[in-house]
Amino acid sequence: MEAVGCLEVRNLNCRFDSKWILRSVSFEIKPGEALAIIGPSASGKTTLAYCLSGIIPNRIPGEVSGSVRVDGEEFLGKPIRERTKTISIVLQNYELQIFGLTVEEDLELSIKDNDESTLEWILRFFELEKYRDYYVHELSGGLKHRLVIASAILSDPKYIVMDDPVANLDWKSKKTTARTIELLKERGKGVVILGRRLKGLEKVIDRWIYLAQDCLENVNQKLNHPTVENRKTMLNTTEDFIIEFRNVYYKYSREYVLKNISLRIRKGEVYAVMGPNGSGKTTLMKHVNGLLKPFRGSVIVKDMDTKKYSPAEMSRYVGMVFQDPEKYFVSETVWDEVAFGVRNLIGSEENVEEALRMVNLLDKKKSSPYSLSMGEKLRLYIACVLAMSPEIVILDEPTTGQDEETLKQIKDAIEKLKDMGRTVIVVTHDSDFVFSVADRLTILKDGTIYAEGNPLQLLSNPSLIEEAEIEPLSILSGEKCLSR
Amino acid sequence: MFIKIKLELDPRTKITLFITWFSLPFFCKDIYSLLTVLISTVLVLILLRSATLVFRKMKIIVPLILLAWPLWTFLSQWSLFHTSTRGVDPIFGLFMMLRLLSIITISTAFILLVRPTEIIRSVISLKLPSSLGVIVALAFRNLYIIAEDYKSIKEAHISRGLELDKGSLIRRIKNYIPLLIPLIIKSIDNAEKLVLALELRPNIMTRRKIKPLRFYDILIMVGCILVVISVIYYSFYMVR
Repeated sequence: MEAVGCLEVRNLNCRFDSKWILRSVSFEIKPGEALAIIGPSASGKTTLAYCLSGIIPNRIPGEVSGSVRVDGEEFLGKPIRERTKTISIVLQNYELQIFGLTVEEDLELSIKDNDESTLEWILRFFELEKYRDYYVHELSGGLKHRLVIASAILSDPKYIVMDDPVANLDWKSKKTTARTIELLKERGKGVVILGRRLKGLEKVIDRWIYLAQDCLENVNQKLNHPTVENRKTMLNTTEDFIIEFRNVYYKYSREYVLKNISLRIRKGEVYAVMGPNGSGKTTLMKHVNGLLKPFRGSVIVKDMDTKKYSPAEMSRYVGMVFQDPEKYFVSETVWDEVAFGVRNLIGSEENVEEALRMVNLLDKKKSSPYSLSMGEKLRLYIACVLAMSPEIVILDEPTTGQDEETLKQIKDAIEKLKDMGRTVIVVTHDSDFVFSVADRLTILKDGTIYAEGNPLQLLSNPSLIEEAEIEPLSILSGEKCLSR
Repeated sequence: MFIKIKLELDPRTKITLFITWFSLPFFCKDIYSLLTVLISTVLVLILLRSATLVFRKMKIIVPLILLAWPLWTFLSQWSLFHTSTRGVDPIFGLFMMLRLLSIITISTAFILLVRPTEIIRSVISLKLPSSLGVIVALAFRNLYIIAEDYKSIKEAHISRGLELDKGSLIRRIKNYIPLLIPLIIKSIDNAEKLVLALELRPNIMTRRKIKPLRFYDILIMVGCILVVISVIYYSFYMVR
């Protein structure tokens, strides 16, 4: 029987050439309902979102069959422009969907008529009134996401598809996104949320389904939280400090981004840095490898004042694994990519093989870096850094948008580095990850050190977590967590 | 006393102002008129409280501007475009360097101070298709994205031991090549995603809301025309 008054997907199949990405996917969602579809990397989440919105096959060629109906009307053969009026999509890289420089300007671009009240209504409805004159780059990730949805709502779609909406967001922004979904449900919109992990959205999601190996299943995952018992405790208690921040101040323009930072990191420890977006985490890390020099104070790395050394000179001692590694690949093969940094430093390729072996990528040495999976790309970048034999390795948000399998690979790589006696600094929003790998933790807020100490002590303090606006531990949050 | 200027100009006025100021260095035939254009531009930027912003963004182009002086001083006699009997002419080199500086300052100010939607609105008010305005505006917006990508790619490569500003000029140019590969790939990828994002917004800028020009907008536009006439008169009739 045909379902009326809902978005109904029946036996949806999609393949590229001979490779099936989706097979017999079926589900339905009603207006005012939020449905989460979760699954690991390469399970077809983005493909499903693209099939619903018409990006596949209209812009990305692929063979799609089955049925996507809204209120009984078939949408599968329709072009993108016609579909977006009913099924709107918010891309994973949603910042690209913002065209204006300010909030008001971006919304104005999508208003059809000359009615000023439409603008006022949309600002009020999405609680964006006080941000109307803000430049888009001044908004948090969650508010940018909300702005994209507000623009989409102006064409009055019945359903919104969100592709991995919380992948790049801090805890506060995740809560903002949860509120946005709540607002959409109140307005009677159906929301389909696809993602690897949707921690922070549990309260607003009505139904969960699991996308795995070409089909959908009801969620029946065993929760895999780190526990106090299985936490590997190998605390380094030596007083041999390898990095020291002495009353460091730094500013990009007018306001200080780092204010009076003083901290010391021991040789051989895994040190985590957490904090909301804009708290100064990456700025702090860029001081360790000399990319930024303190405005006031000093940073001492291996008894060297970073002010006196160029970042290229510091790269002998400090390796930095940036976010989105594929953005920086320059070579045609995995081998050449790893060799790039070593050639810059010593002109030979002596450590390349060992570095690739360490991250289990030696068998892919002739592959293109771009052909690797997300987890492999990150491991490749770690190998690039390892080949340069630095004593300190910094990982800038390695957990962002990663699935369980990739997180395990990153954790293994960090443990290997620690066993080799390297000092590892991890910048992340993921409390569970910090708890499972870090020896010590610093929480930054507004450019100052808000708290520093043992990860378990800090992360199990609810009032501190609330005030510092960081993600609570799954085992302590008391919420059902289906994403880990 | 510093007077804070709070003047919301019409997008059409902004475009006219830019076109006028941008064309002035081409009309100037001597160093004095060029200096006048340059000083007036800096004064306007100071009054708009945007001078620091503009000059900070221009920092990266300073070597190129300085290079113009020796190039035009020594090489102008072999120019493909002019028959010159000057020989080595440092004043001519200085003139060309100032002209380049003026053009770059004015263009940078335009990019930084005019919003993409203002460009769209002025294009619409000129009865041109709104899609043309959207294309121009997106091209401008993409400049910011490319600049951000360039910065992060450069930082990542320096962190992998790449010394960009070491060695001979040829060596330095070669050092920058690894930056270009990911930048080009990323820019193409971004452009494709931007087109897709555009397609996903069904009603972009279909609203035709054109406000009439205000008195001071008309005044500035008339002023622009007078400035152009004065400069042309000065350059072509008063300077030999």
